Amino acid sequence: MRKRLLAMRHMGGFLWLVIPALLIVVFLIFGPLISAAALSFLRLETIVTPPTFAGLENYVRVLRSGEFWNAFVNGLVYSLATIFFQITLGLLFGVILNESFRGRGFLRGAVIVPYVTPAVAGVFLWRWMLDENVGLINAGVEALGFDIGWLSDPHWAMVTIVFISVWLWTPFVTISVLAGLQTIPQQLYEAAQVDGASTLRRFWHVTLPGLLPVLMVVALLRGIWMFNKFDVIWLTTGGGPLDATEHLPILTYKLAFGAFDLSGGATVATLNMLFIMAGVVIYLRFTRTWTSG
Amino acid sequence: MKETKITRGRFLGGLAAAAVVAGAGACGSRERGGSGESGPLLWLNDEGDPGTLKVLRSAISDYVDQGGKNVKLVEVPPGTDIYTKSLNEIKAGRSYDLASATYQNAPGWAEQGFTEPVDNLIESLGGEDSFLPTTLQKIDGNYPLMPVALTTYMLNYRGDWLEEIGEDVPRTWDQLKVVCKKLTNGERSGIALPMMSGLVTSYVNTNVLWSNQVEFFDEDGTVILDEAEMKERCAQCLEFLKELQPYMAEGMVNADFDDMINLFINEVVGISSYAGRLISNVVDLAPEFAHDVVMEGFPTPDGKKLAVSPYAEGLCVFKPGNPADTEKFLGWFMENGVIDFYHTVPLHLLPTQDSIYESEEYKSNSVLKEYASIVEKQRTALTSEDYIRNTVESSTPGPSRLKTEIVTANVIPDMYQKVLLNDVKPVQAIEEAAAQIRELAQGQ
Repeated sequence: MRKRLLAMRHMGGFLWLVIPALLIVVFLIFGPLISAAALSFLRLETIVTPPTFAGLENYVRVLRSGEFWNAFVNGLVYSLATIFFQITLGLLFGVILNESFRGRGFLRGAVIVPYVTPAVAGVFLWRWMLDENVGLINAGVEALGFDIGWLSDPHWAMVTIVFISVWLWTPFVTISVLAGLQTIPQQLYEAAQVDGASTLRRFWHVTLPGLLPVLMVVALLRGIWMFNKFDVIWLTTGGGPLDATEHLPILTYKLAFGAFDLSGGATVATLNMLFIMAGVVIYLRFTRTWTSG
Repeated sequence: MKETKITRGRFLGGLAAAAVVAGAGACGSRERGGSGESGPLLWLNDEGDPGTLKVLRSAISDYVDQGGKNVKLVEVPPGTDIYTKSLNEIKAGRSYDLASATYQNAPGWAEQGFTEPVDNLIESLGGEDSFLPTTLQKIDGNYPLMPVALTTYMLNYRGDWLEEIGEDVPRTWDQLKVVCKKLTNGERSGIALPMMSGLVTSYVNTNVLWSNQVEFFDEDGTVILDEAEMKERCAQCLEFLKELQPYMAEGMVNADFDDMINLFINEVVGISSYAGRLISNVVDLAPEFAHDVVMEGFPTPDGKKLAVSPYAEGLCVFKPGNPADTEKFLGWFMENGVIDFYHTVPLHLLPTQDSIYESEEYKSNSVLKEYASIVEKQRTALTSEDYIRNTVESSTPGPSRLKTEIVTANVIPDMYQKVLLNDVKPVQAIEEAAAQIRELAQGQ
């Protein structure tokens, strides 16, 4: 009986510790989430007018619009391209920086610079360098005989924002890979070397499997972040030119605060969240099968 | 000395107490800061210029010294969505008393009944006739906005470059094309006209439409943009922009307000569309050619008139706040603080009342003395019959929420971009723009 009372007392203490966190989660995460999702089922003239129930009207309207699917495809292209290049380059830099060479410490520090640079500063840095009239890079490219509208040509604009995003966030992958590499036992490399495995084989059969758990988490996180990324695109192109870089978060903002279609914006935001959740579920299933296989 | 042991219980208790105190403090401070009979008036302001803010704070201080109610400047960065921010506050049961406004956001507030008409105040300042044309716009029969300053979007020319190429300031579309062509060489481009999605295009680059008397609506608010005559006029404008395109600076579909200034200051273009702020920046950053800048309206096809876009920046009084005291302050500010406000960016912030231009206090500013011709040119553009004055908001039949949405939904830049970037036929781009406007109207 005394033990039970003590256990309950401990449980009480435990609850006191958990309740603040729970309240924060409920009010600051689930509250707005549910509120936004609820808004997508309402008809709202303005922020202050009382809403009326609209059922699935907003979803039908949004899913029928070409603008939505254009934004969805743009979002897919942007996130897949940025994830691919971030992981490929991050892996490469991580492996290189794990080797012993002179100046490694400096390079390890330098590689993180883009990541600690505020996105707004990074974006403006590139905007100025790529400026078609006075930009440093553009001057070089023009000297070579090319005339590229980095941000004003609908085709190049997507390439440019992918490039800027890769520059900004590849260091995150590099750091994660570097951390992951420290956990791979040195004996595995020694054993592979004794067995006569080449550098490439050692990378393929020892490094890559050892890094797989890290890479999977990194790919998942980067996927979620890039599909939701707003600042870089908004600051570079604002979704233009001609909606060539408009993805779902930009469309959400434009609908809600440009066309003042709050319900439409909430619907796009909810669909965006559902797409990400579906993507995460598929990804986790796929990777579970892969790792267990 | 007695030692105090920090136990888990004490720590959690302290944390809870701190949270309660912080919460109560937040509620209390909101109550103190909120509008009402007892608290200060809240002025939501998105002015970014430190000098202007200093002048506003000083005006408030003078007002309080003279026995007026205290006013608290709620400073938000320029570009903040003041419209939504104010509505959110009202929805939360609070309200600002005064907010920076243009005919962009005022219609939305007014149509929902949140603004206190300033008709009496305007009457006390001399009535409609004392204000410059287009500065006063009615919504539902009342004036929802006190126009404090005017900015005038026109073309800014490098006068010395025009001399070099042996041309005068153009008055017709054909002349403008010739000038742009002659100004363009390997080193520089002829003209900067923004086409970017965003406010800039609808503000800075609509003179081409007004110069050919394009209207989106008739007097009853019916969309007429795609009706035969208007479609033809608008198509001519789009064709003209396309003809100018080879002489435009690169990247105009991605050019914002600051680019219009930077391209001119860095001598990349010979002509840039912008307001007096461009010359203010030239005076500060490139004074060597400040006296060579010539400001003029956008040419018309036949050269009979010139087109300008005058934008009124002002203040709206919110009804849920404390309108009586707010009006009192606003009246005082318009009579006692506004000239100092103009002097903060004297070539850009123009008086909305004609009488102020003649005031000795106004004219005493050294920049205004040195560049009197620039201000006089803008004043002429704002008053003379030789100029067509129009903006999206003030075009027929006057400001409305729909007009605001035409701007925020990028109807105009989209129309330009389709023609200039995607080679869409002007007629098709116009029909799509008209359809988009009708869709926006339906959503209201």
